[in-house]
Amino acid sequence: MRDCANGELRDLLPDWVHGRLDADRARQVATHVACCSDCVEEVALLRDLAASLTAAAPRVDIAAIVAALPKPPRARPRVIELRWYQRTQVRAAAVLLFMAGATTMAVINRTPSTAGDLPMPAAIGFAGGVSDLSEGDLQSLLKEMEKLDATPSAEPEGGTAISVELAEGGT
Amino acid sequence: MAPADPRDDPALDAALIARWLEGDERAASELVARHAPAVARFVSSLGMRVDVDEVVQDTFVRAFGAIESFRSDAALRTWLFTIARRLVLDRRRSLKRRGTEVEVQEDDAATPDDPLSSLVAQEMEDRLKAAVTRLTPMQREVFTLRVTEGMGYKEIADVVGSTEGAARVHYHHAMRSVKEFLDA
Repeated sequence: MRDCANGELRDLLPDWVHGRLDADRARQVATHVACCSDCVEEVALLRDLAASLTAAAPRVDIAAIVAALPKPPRARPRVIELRWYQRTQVRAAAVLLFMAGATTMAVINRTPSTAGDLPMPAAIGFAGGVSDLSEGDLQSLLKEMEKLDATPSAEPEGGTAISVELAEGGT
Repeated sequence: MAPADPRDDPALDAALIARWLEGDERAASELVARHAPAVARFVSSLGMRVDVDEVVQDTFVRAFGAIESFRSDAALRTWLFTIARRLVLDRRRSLKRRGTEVEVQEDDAATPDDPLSSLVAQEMEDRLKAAVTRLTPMQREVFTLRVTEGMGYKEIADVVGSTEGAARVHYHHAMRSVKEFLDA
């Protein structure tokens, strides 16, 4: 098997066999090969070699390779790395938020929503009806009630103690 | 030169890479299917007799792990071959340190467990294989890339870490050697 004297064209034979030449170069090589027995032999050898080496290559498991690949960036869960001072800020904000929430809940629990929710002084109690009270007792009770804050939403101040001396028997 | 082989279409590779980066995992399957057989052929030509599939898998895992750094103006296959070659050399060094010689020598003969001889039955194919096996490791690498993949000298030089001129010389020496063996 001899080498073609046209080294430049012979050098292009593998590219021609693999169809990697542009149209002009491919035509030039084809024209040469058509009348060069050395190049015909070399082209046949290149094709035989490519076929046998390709057939001899081990098969690979495409699915196994794909399964081992890392996840694409957009499919990965985003993890935001915080610097130490950012982590401190986040913790401080969380504590403040918790404290504000707890305070709000405490205020809500202690604030009456209607006038009927106003704490009734323990000392005001009637064993019988209002009609059982004497005129003097009624006047005294009314005076004490006037001292109460009439605004329902107002914060009661420490459970105002009203003591009304009720006279047994209404005398 | 024009990449007539659709496997060498850099635009298609770039589009598939972009799809994968957007989260489309099917694009990875297409990329692997397009290039894995060629990577396996190349790894085999480097003298790997076992663990070829493992090296091919490692090649793709590394490539996809760093694919955002891949320059789209380069050929993906060339890049994959470069990674595969580095992995093979690393394995050889590692095995050498452990006392297992795996370097393929010039007179390395065909053996029954060689992937080439297991699939090549005919006499002519055996002779072709023997001719290629006689080449030096560098000649075999260059020759295989040129003959089976149709790669240009510039791409080959990128893969094997050589120059374009040196790759051309290795190829022509290899071709002369193969012809002489077949004529003998």
